[in-house]
Amino acid sequence: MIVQQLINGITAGSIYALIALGYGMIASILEMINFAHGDTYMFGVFICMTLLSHGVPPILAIVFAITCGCLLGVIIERLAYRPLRNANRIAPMISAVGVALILRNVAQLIWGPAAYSFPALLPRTIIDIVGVKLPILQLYIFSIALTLVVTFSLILKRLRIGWAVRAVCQDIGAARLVGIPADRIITLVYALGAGLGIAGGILYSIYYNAVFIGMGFSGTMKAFTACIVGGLGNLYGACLGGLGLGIVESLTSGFISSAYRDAITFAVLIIMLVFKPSGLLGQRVGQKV
Amino acid sequence: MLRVDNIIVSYDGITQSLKGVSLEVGSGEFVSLLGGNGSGKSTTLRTICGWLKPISGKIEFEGHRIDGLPAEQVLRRGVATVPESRRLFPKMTVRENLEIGAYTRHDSEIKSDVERMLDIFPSLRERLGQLAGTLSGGEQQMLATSRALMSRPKLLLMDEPSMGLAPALVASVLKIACRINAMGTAILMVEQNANAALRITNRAYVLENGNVVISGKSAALLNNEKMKDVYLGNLSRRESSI
Repeated sequence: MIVQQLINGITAGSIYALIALGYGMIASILEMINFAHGDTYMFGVFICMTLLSHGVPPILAIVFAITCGCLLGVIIERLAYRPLRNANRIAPMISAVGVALILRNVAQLIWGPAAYSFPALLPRTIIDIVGVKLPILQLYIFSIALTLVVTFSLILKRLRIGWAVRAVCQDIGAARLVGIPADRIITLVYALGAGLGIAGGILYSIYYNAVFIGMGFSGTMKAFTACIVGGLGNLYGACLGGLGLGIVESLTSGFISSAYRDAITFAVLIIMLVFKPSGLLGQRVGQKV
Repeated sequence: MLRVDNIIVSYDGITQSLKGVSLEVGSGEFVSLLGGNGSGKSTTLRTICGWLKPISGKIEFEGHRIDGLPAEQVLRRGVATVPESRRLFPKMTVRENLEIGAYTRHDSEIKSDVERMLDIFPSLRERLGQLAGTLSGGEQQMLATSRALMSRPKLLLMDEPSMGLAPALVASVLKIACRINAMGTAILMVEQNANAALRITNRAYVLENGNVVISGKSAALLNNEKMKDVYLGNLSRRESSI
């Protein structure tokens, strides 16, 4: 039972890690909660589902949905965040709440408030390893999420463009001083953040076999919690935070009740904010003057 | 090489922080920009480096207008900056901070330039793998300076390199500035410590309320009566006037 729940937790956690990675990058530029993150990828997942239900080949549908989401991320940055970059910190947050509400309502106009089931893109057979039932589906989801996270962190660590992203996330002004075209990199971060989110959102929908308008908001909160657990601004921490959150969630729903799955996210968030706001991995980097 | 012509800068669009500043830095020259708190020294530097846009006036570097260009373009023209409070990338290692300083370069000498910096600043060598945010103030200043030099600039802008450092370190930071200048890089340095700055630079400008009020050869300014009174801390005179 506990092994089963752990496997479930790791699967969900790997998806959260993927979403948190994209969220964390954007959050470190925005320096606040990006309320629109989840709703951006909710939109992408709905586009993907619509295409699939019209018989578009899965690969094409996924690529198109991710491209749309990246574009959406870029447009939101241009219209709602960039004009406010030099404003006080509360202004972009309100702007983000507005964007989230618009996205949610537009999605509701197009697709209605109902929940849809998501086409089964991955096999759902179950293999049995010494008494532990291991659904192939979870193995697939975990490997895809892990591959994306690892590829992405390698890009951030090794490639020139990855260095530019990390520099911009830490200090936009200083990044310009070393010759990094910060505006272009910020656009790229929003596109990538949204793209990773949609990839995570599609995996989530496949795993739970559901697409619904509310998945955006709960995704935002989970990504935010994962980032707080890992320490805001620490991308590896965000991934580990996501994984941990998935495990805690599935243990709660396995041993207490699955009705508390979302509640536990908020509980973790509140506990972290009260007792260790710098995160479990958050090293206090003192700004010495 | 650098010609700042009558620039007016305002942060809020109402009050002018610079009310028409003009200055020049020749090729290979070491020039200091002096003045009290709020006189506009740092604002001048921030405008030259591209962080701020002047309302009017122009800035030319090697004959090309650079005012209004974003900072990343100014750097590509050959003007590197060591900003106020260093602005390192705190979550990158010392080595990464050095290498990212060469972001605009594509040549094969980046690795050997890192070595060159470690020769100039030996205390950074043992900290290569450490996060920049964990360095001491003096080490951060050295890292910020070498990060700027990694772009191989023709002109280096330094904003109060001695700020917040222990007196012993101030001397060594200024000595390093002299060494960089001796290797052929022109420097425009904002400094609060007028005495020390005038002893090492060729020329100096003094700002007051957003205007250049005194300028000339540093050696001459050391004996200028007004300089002695206001900026060089002529204690005997000040005490006698009380």
